[in-house]
Amino acid sequence: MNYELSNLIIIATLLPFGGALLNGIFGKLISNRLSGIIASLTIGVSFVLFVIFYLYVVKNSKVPYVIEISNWLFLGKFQADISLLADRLSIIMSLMVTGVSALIHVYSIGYMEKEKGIKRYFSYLNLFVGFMLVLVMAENIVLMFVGWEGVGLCSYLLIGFWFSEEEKANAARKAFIVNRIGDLAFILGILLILSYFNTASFRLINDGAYKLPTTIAFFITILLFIGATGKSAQIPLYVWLPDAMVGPTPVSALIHAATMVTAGVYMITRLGNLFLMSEMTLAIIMLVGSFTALFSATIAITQNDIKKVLAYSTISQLGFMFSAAGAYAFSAAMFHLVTHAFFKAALFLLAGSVIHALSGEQDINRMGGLEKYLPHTSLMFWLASLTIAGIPPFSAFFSKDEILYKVFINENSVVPLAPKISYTMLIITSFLTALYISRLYFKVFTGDYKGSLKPHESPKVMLVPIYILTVLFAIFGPIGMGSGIGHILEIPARIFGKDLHLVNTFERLVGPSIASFGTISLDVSLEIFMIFISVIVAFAGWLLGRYLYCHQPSPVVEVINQKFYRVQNIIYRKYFVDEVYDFLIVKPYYYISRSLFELIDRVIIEFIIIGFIVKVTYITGYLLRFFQNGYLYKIICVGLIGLGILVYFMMGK
Amino acid sequence: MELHILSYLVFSPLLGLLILFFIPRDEKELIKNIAFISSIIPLGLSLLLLFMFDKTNSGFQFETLVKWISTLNINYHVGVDGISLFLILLTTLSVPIVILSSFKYITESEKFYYMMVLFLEIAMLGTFLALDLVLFFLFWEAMLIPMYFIIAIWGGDNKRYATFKFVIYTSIGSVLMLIGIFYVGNLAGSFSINDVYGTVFSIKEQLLLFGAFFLAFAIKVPIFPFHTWLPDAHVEAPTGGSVILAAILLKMGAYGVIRFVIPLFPNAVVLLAPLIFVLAVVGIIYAAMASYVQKDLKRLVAYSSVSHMGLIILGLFALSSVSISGAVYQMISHGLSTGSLFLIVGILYERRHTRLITEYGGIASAMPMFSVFFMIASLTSIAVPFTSGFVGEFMVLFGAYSSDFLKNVYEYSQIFVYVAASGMLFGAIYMLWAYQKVALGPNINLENQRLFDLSLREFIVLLPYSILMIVLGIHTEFVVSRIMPSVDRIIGIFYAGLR
Amino acid sequence: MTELLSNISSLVFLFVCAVSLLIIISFKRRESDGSFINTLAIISLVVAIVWEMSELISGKNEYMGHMITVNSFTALSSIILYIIGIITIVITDSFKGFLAEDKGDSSILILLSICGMQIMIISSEFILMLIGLEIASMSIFVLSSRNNRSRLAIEATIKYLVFSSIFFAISLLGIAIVYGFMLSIGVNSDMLSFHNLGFVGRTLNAGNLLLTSAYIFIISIILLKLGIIPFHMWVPDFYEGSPSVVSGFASTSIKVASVVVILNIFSKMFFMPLISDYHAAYKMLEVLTIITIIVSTVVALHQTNVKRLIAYSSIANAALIMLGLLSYLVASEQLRIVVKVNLVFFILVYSLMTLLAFGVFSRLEKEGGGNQLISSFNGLYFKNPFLALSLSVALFSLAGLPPTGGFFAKLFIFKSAIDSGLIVISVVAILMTIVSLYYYLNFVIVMFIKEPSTNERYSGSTLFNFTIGIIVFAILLAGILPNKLIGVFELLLK
Repeated sequence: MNYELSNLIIIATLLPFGGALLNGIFGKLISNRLSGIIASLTIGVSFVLFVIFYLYVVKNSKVPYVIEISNWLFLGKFQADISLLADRLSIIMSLMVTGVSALIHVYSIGYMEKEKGIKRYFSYLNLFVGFMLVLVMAENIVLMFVGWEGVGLCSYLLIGFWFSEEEKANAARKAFIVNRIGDLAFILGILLILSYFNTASFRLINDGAYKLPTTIAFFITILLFIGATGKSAQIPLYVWLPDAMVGPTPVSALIHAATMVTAGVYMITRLGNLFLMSEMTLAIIMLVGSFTALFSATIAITQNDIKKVLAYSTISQLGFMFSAAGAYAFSAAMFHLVTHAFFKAALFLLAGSVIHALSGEQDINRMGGLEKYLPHTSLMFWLASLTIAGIPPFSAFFSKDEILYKVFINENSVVPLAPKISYTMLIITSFLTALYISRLYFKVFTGDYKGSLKPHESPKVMLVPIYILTVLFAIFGPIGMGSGIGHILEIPARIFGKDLHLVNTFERLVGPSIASFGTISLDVSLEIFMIFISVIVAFAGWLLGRYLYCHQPSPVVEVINQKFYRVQNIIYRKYFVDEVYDFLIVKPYYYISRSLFELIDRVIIEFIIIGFIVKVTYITGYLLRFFQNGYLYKIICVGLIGLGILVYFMMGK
Repeated sequence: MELHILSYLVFSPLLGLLILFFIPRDEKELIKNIAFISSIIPLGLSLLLLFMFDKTNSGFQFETLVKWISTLNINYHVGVDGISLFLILLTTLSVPIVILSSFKYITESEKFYYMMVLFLEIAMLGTFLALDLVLFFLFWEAMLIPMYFIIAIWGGDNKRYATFKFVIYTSIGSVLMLIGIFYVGNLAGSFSINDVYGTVFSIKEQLLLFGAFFLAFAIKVPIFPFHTWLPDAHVEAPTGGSVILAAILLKMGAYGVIRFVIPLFPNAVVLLAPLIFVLAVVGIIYAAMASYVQKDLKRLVAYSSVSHMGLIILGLFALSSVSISGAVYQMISHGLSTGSLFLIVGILYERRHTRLITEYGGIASAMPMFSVFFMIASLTSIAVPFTSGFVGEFMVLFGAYSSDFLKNVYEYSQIFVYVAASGMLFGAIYMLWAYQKVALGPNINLENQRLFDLSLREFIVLLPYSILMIVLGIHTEFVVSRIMPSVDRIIGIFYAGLR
Repeated sequence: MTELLSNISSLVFLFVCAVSLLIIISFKRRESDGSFINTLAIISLVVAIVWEMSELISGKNEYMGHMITVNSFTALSSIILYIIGIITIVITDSFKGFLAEDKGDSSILILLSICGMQIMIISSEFILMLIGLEIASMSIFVLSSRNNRSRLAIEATIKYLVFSSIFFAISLLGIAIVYGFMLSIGVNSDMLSFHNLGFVGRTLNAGNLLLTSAYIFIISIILLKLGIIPFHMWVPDFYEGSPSVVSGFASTSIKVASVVVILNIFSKMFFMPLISDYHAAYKMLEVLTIITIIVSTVVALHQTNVKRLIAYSSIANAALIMLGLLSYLVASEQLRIVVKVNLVFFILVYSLMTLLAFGVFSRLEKEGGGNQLISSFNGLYFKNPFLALSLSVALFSLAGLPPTGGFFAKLFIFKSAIDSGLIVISVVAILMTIVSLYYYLNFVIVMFIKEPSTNERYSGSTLFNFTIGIIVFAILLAGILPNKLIGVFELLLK
């Protein structure tokens, strides 16, 4: 590979950091708009560079490139360097990251216009992209951890962007600390990997994975997975994500929907060979993923905050990806990751647009009828909703279908029932997804407007990025077309005597970079059957939502609200998970700390041990002092008696 | 090679000390300036030393050996290797910072204060460079007096208790070490490290001597449960004192462990390592938990020191090249981050005269630049990647985890590493909590709203540490390539002595 | 006779000076304010030092009929005594606080006392030694009781006087007993030299009850002067009651003399496998040392009076001296010289720091001496930083922290003790130094606690400040370059 092109990647990865520095240090000197333009430009240029690199290098080659920047950590027999790994997986992910980021940066110029500290905002946002690129492009797992923690840090900074509100500062800290729990597991996993493989490089780890004993593989992968549950908001560490919605909406779109939260899936894909070594872990991943999907989808139905609904939806969609990864379908997971990035980013930006229009209102009960006021937003929201509901021919239909199929046909020898259970949960989730998104759409955009302020459509700088995303999520689907759909489409083609050779382009694209589990025999008729099921489910969900919530909430809703008040309340309160965590972990931690500190430092060490030594010395002195009042007779007596004692002892010998 | 650069370095603060001595105490500005300028000289010399340092040489460089008290075989013997090199640099960097940071904090008896700081610098440099056990002990003890004065004269309300505790704790350790030193010197025939390293001790002797030496170092480090002097000393000391205490004095214990305990008493190390692991790990967790419940910001930082030093001790006793190098790296990093944090607390205290966390909140809106520095120091403290803290901590954890020594010592000893790693989590809990309570949230308190951001001087004070924390987080080779050969040499001596 | 005179010429000179000054003072008493006499006394001491220096360099080592031994060691000790004398006189001259109508008589008494102690130093025979001791003590009694306005001073003097007289008598009794034994075994000499007395014990190697107690009787007077338990109880009272200058002088000079005497006794009496139960005697001393160091340190914790505090500290230091002496006793031949050097170093540094402390005390002393509480030093630093820092140096040195001479002084004592195998006692002593840190630091810190400033500024004469400065400098120098001093001592004492 020629030298200039490898420089491209380095520049592309470092550009966002440069932007961050520029905005961070010289922010005072430039105008708000310029600051936004600089930030967007750096990401945009970075995106273009990735495109060039993709077109000229990656597309024509299946070999990964390693680009060394600098050496970094010396770990005895090997090093963990600052090097980049450019293969199809990382470049596609980077394209997605920089592309979506660039759009969101542009959107932010409009959205954050009136905020104080916008340079700080753009500086953080750039920094985030930089760390995300480090995470994606990292050649070794330690460097990935840098990106991993780095994005967590930026997420912390951005959630707490409006730090002067206690709630936001709390949410930021919660996000960081919950992530740290995951990171702790991740780093322990890294330690295990490093000491077993004696290397940090992904390629060498994947190459050597087959030699790993199953138990070790299980420990390693389960630790990494716990790490992933932290970053990608899966059970049990998902609790930070809904709270994180207090941050600026573009941040939610970028970090908490499109990019950072998918890092867990990306990591598992990156280390696919390693994960394939432990079927146990894969089963756990699948079950956790699908359960998370179901669990959070139920919560999403009951939420009234527009961003919270989307947050739980994100968790749910991430669950899909994890289920796919657990079913060895890394390519399907990645595909859903990409499509999800597009439509979920779009949804968040649209939500931002709505919030912007309503000057900060987020409660969907106070919205309604926005169709009239926000025609562009409404249209795109509708498209995005259809997409997430899984309605063909939008992209999520393709990606979700692929996942459902791959999960269903998966055979796990350790937990044989897992795929079927998982599938069941996922199909229910599909239904719920369509339901909650249609509820959201119809409640917000149809019916009568319940607010007092007059909504206004967003400026172009905000709408254009969403348009671009809309185009992407609308047409991106066929790239990852599964074989079943391919067959359906081929039927009419055959009639005209043509052979389309429709294949999964996406899988072919990333295939060389990710692990595959031999060849799975595909049952085309089964797949076609399942496509029908999922389409039916999706439509059913959507229509049910439409029936219940279009224009006016239907009377059935009232009935349900009354009859299932308790259940609904439990779900609405998110199954009291936060409260349980608070009661079981957060509070006890404080009280245990407090009492340990009081007990050990104050009582045992200070009072008992040191106090004892000091008192003994002191009291001894006090007692001895009584001999020291200087009456002459006493002095002489002590002297003489002492002399007597000496003589006595000398003679006693 | 007769280059006495080390001797010049050690005694270079003497110049400023003497000049200050002859300046009338009322010339306050002059005194400050001279103190600052004269503290630049050692910095320059140490940079020169860094420049001349030969990184291919793992042994001691620029050695100077002069007969001193010949009746007792005590020599003036100094030398530098990769381990002490960076501790020296940390010292010479910290002193100008401390002096600059004290310009406004110290408002009476300035002359004496700066003299004491310079005096302290001599003692600190001497401790790191001494290669003669008695000389080492001399410098070690010599730190007590200036530190005593710094806390006793310019300290807080409860300074009396704090100084006593500080001096008596430290002395308890060091007198036992003194006996150990005499014993070692007796057997080795001299106190020079070259003779001492070759000496073989019986197992029983090793255990006793280990106890004598290690107690001194454990108190200085401090290792749980010998740590209770530290929070008191930190809280009562003036900012400059706390910075020196945190950045440098605590490192001396760990330095002593590498320099003396590990190479001299290998068998005792093997026997007692499990116990030390337990103490280190308990210290990491316990101190992190204790930090979380502190009401006083300075005390919180002090407990965080205890927690971090536990990790350093774990790294040292894991006895792998990576873990010890990582521990040294972490020593530097901890010096930078905790030093910074104490400067930050000091800056707050100068403005508000309170250190209670509840008194603050939301000051990031009043002091944005200040908060950035606070953030950087906190992040380094909790080992976020691309800060020096991460490098050190990761090297320690990995080095310990993959250490053959650790595996041989005790079957399940890798559990220690797992528990130690959780310090990262607990660290984040208290540090971010503190950051939030101080810098974030609504700024309600009227007095906090009136706070002004960093002055140029304060900015300059905070800048070097912060830059280094980030640079050392990314560019590690420069440091590690100099530390590691010397560490390998120490490990070599350790294994050579093992029976 | 001339030979003898030339060997002790400085002693003779000093004595002549003292007598001459006495004569001068009796004529000029009315006009003089004392400075004149003091100056003359100082000059004579300086001359004596120079004189003794020449002795030192000539390196004589002579015995004159078993009665007097003059060698470089005695010369060195004498010089230390002279230095103590000079410092004391300077302080006396600057502060007539303790006696307004002092016309220089104190310096004459000091000179006489020094003469007495020098006699102790050079004697190698008991009678001479005791005479010297009496001369020295008498002068000190007079010095301490001259302040007839202070009830405490008189009381202190009487206590000391009576107590030491009793033990003087007991000591004489011991000598008489041993002399009796000496005659009985037909030693061909009527000299009560240390050597002869030791010879008795060697010959009658049975555990003779009477003889054993006699030895203890003899040595008790020296232990009393040093302040070893159980003969220590006069020390705090005496220090408290006497003017600071006198306390300083008494506590330092008498230690110098006693150390030399004990070393002489040890080397001449005990070294040959000693009295029958040498081991028991040695053990006895060891036990006494341990008890002394523990009790004095622990009791000192409770002292609120600075002079009592320093008194207990001086007892503890006496125990350290005993530790050095004990290690001298058990050390091997080549180590013995090192121990001796270390002891001299310790004594010198101890004298300097104690004098420094008492010098500062005397500055703060109200007229008539009296009680000085630690609290009366509150905020001294803000009133007079020079004094506060000097006193801090003295206290840090007493506590044994570098870079003061006290650090090395203690270090050397411990080193020689450990080298000689006295591990247990060293460990106890070292541990007790930590406890002692507490009260030294407690004292130091009060000087730095800010007090609402009073008007007292404690201004003093230039000479005084200069002397104090010199002592501080010397203590620091001894802490930084002890090798120079040690080197000189070693050269001299070989």
